[in-house]
Amino acid sequence: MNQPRPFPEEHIDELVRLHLARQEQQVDAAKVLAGVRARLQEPAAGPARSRQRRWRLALAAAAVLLIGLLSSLPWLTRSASAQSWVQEAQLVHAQPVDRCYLVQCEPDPSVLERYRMLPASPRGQRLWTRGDRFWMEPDRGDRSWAWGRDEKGRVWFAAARRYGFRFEREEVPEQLALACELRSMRVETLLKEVQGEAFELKTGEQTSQDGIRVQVVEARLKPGMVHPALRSARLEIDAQTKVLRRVVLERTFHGQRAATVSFTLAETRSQDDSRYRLDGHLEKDAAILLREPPQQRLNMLRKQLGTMPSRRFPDKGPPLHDF
Amino acid sequence: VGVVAAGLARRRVLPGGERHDLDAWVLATAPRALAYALSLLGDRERAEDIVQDCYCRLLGKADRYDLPRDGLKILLKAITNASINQVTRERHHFRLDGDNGQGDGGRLQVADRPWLQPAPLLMHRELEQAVQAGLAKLPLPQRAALELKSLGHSQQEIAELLDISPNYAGVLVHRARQAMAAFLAPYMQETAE
Repeated sequence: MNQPRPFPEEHIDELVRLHLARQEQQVDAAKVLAGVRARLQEPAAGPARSRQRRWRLALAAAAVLLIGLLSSLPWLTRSASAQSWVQEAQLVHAQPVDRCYLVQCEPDPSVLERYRMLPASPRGQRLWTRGDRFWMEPDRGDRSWAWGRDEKGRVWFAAARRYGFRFEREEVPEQLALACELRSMRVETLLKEVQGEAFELKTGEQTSQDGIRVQVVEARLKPGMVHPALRSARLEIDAQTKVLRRVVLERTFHGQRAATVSFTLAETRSQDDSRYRLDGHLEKDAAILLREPPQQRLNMLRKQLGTMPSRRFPDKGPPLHDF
Repeated sequence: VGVVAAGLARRRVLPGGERHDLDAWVLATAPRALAYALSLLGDRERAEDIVQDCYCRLLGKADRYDLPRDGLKILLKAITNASINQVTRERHHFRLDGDNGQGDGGRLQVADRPWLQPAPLLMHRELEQAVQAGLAKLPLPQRAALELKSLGHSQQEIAELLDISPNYAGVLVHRARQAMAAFLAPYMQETAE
């Protein structure tokens, strides 16, 4: 009789980590924050709350919600239309299709000074997206670097096709995470977030410069609401194909304006899966750093990018002008 | 003005300068905190309740801690304790230590596992669900220890978070791995066939 072969124990940690990462992806952080806010705004009555008091609060909240809904019906009618456009774009962009956007970033000088991280390209960059995956590279000329986020949420950076840096989803240092968030566009996440309660949506119809009818959806953060990196988004959705033709994001950091980033659709062309991963941008004998502590890797990345003199990597990367 | 910080400022527990930082900190840590609590408790409503309560208690002491540096660790510890309290419905400070505080003599070291890329296996929905089911079958202390280990915490940190000795933390991780390996064995058979 065959005994079941034991599952390799060395896989267990990784399977559990992936399981937790998937759970994390499904968490609505804004909802948790709203819950914490609601509790903090209650009078400090101590930890014990009676069931009766909870019911009274729930009834009061329901009454307030009902009054609010009744008084804002015209607004709801307007936003429902905007939301349906965003939902249709969300469906289209959930398909495994590769789209390229030209990116222009206008950073705020104060943030620029504090959070230099990724290299800039004066002519802009090209962003290839497929769902929440992306990779970026300079638009023209110097193509010596690329960076991106793969299907597992890992952030990677390839320099001169010879050196690769990779950070697991949960170990991305804050500064690098900020730089990625400010400069890139995770389409699926963006379209999901602007439909949340934190954003007010408005929509209108326009004709683009090349004569294509587009539906413009403006999403703006409501007063009193917070988002870690986004204040407003302008989405220009192709009225026929429902594809995002142009997106303008007003990025924030700690509540202050950080940058205005625009994304303009350039082409739609199938890309190999490897292009969204680090190994797709490196030579075969390239050195890959992924085991050093995250902060050490970040420092090495900075050295490679030319922010400080390096002994390990003699080649200097592009100058830093941007996050 | 950050909403969390505004609430704290109104309750006079926070000076004015740190408001946006606290909101951003909650937003940044909430996914991990809630995913961890959900995995421990298996019930979203209870997990959300515990997580929000832990945030409130921790933010109430924001002036005593360096939250960006230590906050997540303290939060995970609070969630672990609260989850154990709720599951066991026993006394408030539950001790996981099974070695009666015998110290670190003969410490069992549990090594970090190498990166072997089992991710493609997770493409199978069935295996993904099996991982969740296997975790749910583990005793809560083992589940917590294995999850903390997989999230990159050292044996010493797990011991601190669970309020047990490092030796016993290693035992919990080891037992949890063994149990999971046994539970997932049928899936190994299927992938081998």
